Amino acid sequence: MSIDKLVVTHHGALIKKYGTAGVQRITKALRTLITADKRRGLITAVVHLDVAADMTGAGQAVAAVADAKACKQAIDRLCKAHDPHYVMLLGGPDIVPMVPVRNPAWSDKDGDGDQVVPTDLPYACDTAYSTNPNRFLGPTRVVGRLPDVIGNTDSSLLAQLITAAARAEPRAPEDYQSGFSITAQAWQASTELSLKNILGTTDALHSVPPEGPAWSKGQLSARVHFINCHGADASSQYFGQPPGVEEFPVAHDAKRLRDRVSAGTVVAAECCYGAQLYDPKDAGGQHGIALAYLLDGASAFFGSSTIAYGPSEGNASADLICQFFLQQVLSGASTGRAALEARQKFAGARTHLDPYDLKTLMQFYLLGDPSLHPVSTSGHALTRTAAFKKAFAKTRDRSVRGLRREKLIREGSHLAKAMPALEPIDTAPSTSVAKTLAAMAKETGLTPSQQTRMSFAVQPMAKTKVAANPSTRQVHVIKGPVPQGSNAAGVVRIVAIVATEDDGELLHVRRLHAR
Amino acid sequence: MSDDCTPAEAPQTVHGRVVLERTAAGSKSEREAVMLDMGGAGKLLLRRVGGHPLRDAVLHTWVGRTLTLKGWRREGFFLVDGLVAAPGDAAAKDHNPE
Repeated sequence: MSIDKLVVTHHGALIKKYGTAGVQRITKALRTLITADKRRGLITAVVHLDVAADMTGAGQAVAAVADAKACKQAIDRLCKAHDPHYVMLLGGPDIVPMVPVRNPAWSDKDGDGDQVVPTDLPYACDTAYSTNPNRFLGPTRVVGRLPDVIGNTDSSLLAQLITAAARAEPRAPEDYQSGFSITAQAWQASTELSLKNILGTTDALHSVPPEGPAWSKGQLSARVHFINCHGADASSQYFGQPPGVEEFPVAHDAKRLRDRVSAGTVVAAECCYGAQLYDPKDAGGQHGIALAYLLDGASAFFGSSTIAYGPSEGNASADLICQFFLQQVLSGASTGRAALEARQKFAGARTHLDPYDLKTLMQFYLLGDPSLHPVSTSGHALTRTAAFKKAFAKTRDRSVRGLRREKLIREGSHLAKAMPALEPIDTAPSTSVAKTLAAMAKETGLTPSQQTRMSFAVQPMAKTKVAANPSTRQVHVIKGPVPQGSNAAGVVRIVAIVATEDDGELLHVRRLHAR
Repeated sequence: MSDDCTPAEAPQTVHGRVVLERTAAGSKSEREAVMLDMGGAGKLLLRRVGGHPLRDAVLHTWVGRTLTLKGWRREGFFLVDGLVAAPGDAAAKDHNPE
């Protein structure tokens, strides 16, 4: 019998964390999920990566204590053996580790301090384990993570999330017409643009300051939440910011979500660390906002594990990948397919990814059961005929889902082959490009003595025709502090100019504004 | 704060000069952050137990001082549980978290 959905976890890690009785509670909840999935037309199998019987046909079980590499390799073998339409990682990173991928935007001066990006993206790719982000440009699998709380020893929270996934049902598109959005005031223009692209209106927008964080039940009851605020490492709050001022009032608080979130809510949060899974002991005992949403009934949370990027005006990076995710959910996709399609669309929209977009692709991931369809879709008229129902009585959605997966695999495989890699180099920009960049830097207010530069070669993947010729394309990032003239406190902002050159010619340039 | 809400492992101490520095350039986290400059041992982003993670007024009062801090080293920051008072540093008593 073919398996539609694989629930992947690690028995030894669950036992160590929850004990035998705790695991029994999780197993019971999983039986409920399997039954519910069957009703939805899904054959679901739970696979403990460290249990040999579960891994039959997919190679050796992983060790009693397994690292990300072992888990990635085992999941690759499982996907090859079963070709599932959905892969659900069960538990937080202390059960199934995230893959620690190198951060291409890392810089030790003025910069992005995340040396690695913990990510589930590699599990969605059929390429071998690596910590090189360039290996994961072509995701093909529908993957999500139903997390638990790091360090927690009470399995009831994970059991609750599994049971909630079992109970989830698609709702009419009308139920997702209204939204709830929070923005840092400083980024209002960007958030307005995002909201228009997602919901067609900015009616749902709330700016912090002056509003927040005591959102009413009525405000939070909307089923589409889009959040563009500051976040922080191991923090249970998001923060707003007035334009041009370094004040960060609380915008959203995990403590204030209880009993306020509607069942089936879907959230995309652009915030730095917006979906980070951390040990609550580092945050006064409070788990993060993403978990708070899921525990209160949300079906999906799409967010970042680390520091994220986006402009204060216009849309780029985090804005785009979050928009793509919500747009796909609203069009009736499963949350997992929406995440995969968002990743593919984000990667495929460009000839190459600069270090900030490459990090964006790595860091955004889905928390929640990837097989859930929050928004129902009505099929074409033929689907309501007796002949149609009879023809597909046994396979139900499996056959058409299989066709969708074929397309997604084709798209992902193409991206993996076609998207060039970004390799750090010491080469400086060509003379003419350097001259242009110097002029741009001067007009931006960057002082030459305080600038730093990161450069990358854009390397075509080996099997493409382009690869026959050596690459002359490079990406250069020039970064430095810029005094804010109108700011009486003498606050300086870092500005990064990202330039693409080819054979000495400047092709493209963008400026990442400080906030 | 109860013991339940603090890391289980024993705290460690770090020593250095507290400085204000731009961090996470160009990202959604960019800000003036309070860091501990430990000289050759590098710099640590500081967070105080129970303090605002992005702008903590108490940490800002430490800028410019050379201090020994007690707390826990994390992936991206040092979680400060308190100051280890240096001889004659009466201010340390005022700034230790409850």
